Amino acid sequence: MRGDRRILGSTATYVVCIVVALIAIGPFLWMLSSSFKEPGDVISLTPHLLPNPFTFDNYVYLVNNGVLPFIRFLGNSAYITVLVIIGRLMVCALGAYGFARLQFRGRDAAFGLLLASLMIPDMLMVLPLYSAYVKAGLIDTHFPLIVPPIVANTFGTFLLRQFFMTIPKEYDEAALVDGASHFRIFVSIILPLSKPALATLAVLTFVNVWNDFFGPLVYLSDVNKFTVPVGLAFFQTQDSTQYGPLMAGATLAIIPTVLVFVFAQKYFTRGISMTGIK
Amino acid sequence: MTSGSLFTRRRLLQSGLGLAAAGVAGTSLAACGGSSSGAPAGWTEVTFSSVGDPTTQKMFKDMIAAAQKESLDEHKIKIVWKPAPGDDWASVMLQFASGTAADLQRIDDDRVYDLATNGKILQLDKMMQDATNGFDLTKYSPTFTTKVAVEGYQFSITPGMSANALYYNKKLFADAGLTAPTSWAEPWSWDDFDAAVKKLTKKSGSRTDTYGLQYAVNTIQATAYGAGDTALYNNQTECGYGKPETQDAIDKQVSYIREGYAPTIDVEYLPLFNAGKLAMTWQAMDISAQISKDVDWDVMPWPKTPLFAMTKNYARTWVIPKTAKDPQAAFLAMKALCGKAASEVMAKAQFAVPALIEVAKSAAFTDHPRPKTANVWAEALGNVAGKPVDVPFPRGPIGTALADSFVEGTNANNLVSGKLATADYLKRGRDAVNAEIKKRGWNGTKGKELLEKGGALADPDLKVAAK
Repeated sequence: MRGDRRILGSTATYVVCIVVALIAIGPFLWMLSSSFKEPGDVISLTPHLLPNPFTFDNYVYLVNNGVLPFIRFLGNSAYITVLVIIGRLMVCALGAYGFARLQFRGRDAAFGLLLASLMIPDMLMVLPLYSAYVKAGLIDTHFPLIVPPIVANTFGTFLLRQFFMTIPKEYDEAALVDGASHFRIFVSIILPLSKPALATLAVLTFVNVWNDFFGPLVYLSDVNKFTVPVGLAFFQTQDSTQYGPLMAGATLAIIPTVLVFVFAQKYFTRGISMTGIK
Repeated sequence: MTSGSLFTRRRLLQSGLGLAAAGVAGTSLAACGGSSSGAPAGWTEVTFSSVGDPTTQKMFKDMIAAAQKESLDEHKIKIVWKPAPGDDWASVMLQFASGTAADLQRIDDDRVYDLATNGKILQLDKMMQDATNGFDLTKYSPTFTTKVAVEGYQFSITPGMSANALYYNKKLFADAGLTAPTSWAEPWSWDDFDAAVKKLTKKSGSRTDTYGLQYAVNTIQATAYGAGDTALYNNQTECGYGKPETQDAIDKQVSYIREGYAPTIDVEYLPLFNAGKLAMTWQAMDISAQISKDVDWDVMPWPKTPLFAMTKNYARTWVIPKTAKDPQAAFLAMKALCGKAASEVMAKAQFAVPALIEVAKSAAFTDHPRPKTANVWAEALGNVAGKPVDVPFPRGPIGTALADSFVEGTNANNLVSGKLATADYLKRGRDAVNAEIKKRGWNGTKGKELLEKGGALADPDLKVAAK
């Protein structure tokens, strides 16, 4: 009797999980399917998942439309994302080490000030930053998309500082007794022990930078410098949407994110538990 | 650390190599594709920017190439194309705010008024009337100087307009024994139209299998003007749409939704039209590319409602920011893009009706497999019996209030979803607009005062439209 109830319970759990999984995966399947459909087939009175006829035209149009170099957009997104990840890990880790391990006057006040900057809405900063970049001649370059996200990332510094605080200080003290410098402690003790936090920050940075639409939209005007999200926006206008190429582009754009998720799944979940940010 | 460390030199090296490889791959991909081309030495560069999908952007590139060949190469002016993505004007507005907009910027016509009164764009009346470089306005449709004028002054040029008309399914018309009108000069009367809508609609009990008509809420403006009404009364000090004929005309139109002859606005019209389940749909020109090849379609005018048959066209328009590097070169580039060669590119793409009349009437625009009656689009820019076919809708703050109250937002949505009676719709809309007029102390001279206050009028005594 109890066994039957248990089987019934787990069956119900599986059914619920499968239904929820289908609901979650539905839009992705629809995106994939639509990318292989003809224009009139994407929105139809009788929606169907399987493309009929099956066509690669949307992908061909995406990479060979004569005006938008989509492959180049992928390349731009890739190199900007990689540079920001590398730079952010380096800068945030150094900053976090200072706040977590070094004793200096005004440290806590400086950290409080840093945290306070998190309260400033990003949109408030757009116009002043834009004007500053104009004066510096940096508009229509990748500089605003790479350097500020590296050097001005409060969240990353906060995240790593909190993690560094959990590492016992006895390790540092032992190393100091052995004559190690702070840089040596940072490189040989703190960083190796902080791999989960660094990986989490790397993954969150990847998702954030790879999907960034507003920054490239605002700072770039040369078509050869655009990134994937901006490229995709060309297929959606006020008057109409080219769903086929848009879905084909979204499918290509999502591949790196899926790969990162597959290989760094545990860091995603750890990132959620460490930061409370989904 | 010990050999069990997570960050051994080897692992660090591997990770570094991995990231470096990704970076190299990214850089290599980024190197693919063309590079931007500036102006050759000794030439003047004019940047041109517009939103638009890849098809539209390709057309702009072709228009630029045609304009270069026709006249700009001779003047040593090079247009540099800078496409902007999609449906978002945020970056364009930011560029205007920071003084980095393109020398020649295509924008939403609704934004010209604000940009002009804020002193962001150049007044063009003087350049347009310049005997050596100006336009021969007799060659352009009447709406060329009136469509997006700001209090009668020219702050933009509109080389083409997307005409709105009724797309109809020819097979459904043939099955119903109907012949569609082919000119705005001979549109259907409301009674003819009403009979056609009812004949084309196929119902099974309370369910509609085939709709006779689908329309958007912005037809309300055409319907009201077609009833002999206007949007504003008494030198712009009172909201219009107060005539009983207007209420009657709108009520008849909305009754199609209430009675199941037309779908509510939340229903996607395109799948219905493509599936042959919709006989007539009121749309702009850009949807023609999205209609299924299996549907045999054409276009016809909106009916008389009941006095006149009118439409509401849409236009993106071109402006020269005050920050343009060389305004004269930008104007010449603008003129060249309104010229014959560039207009023919636009006509062949059937992107919009070219304002240049000879091109709008030429085979470049009319000789296409569909529609057979492209003249219905072309006529939408002109006059019938001395009256514009296109509704002369007010702009500026009161124009915005009118649009918010009658065309967009809750009031309009409630009307066309059958939740609001026509009388209540008109009353609420008029109350909102009158409140805005009162709040601003608005009258017919306020618009010019705003222009003067914003330092927009370089030549207050010059008006192209007045000539």
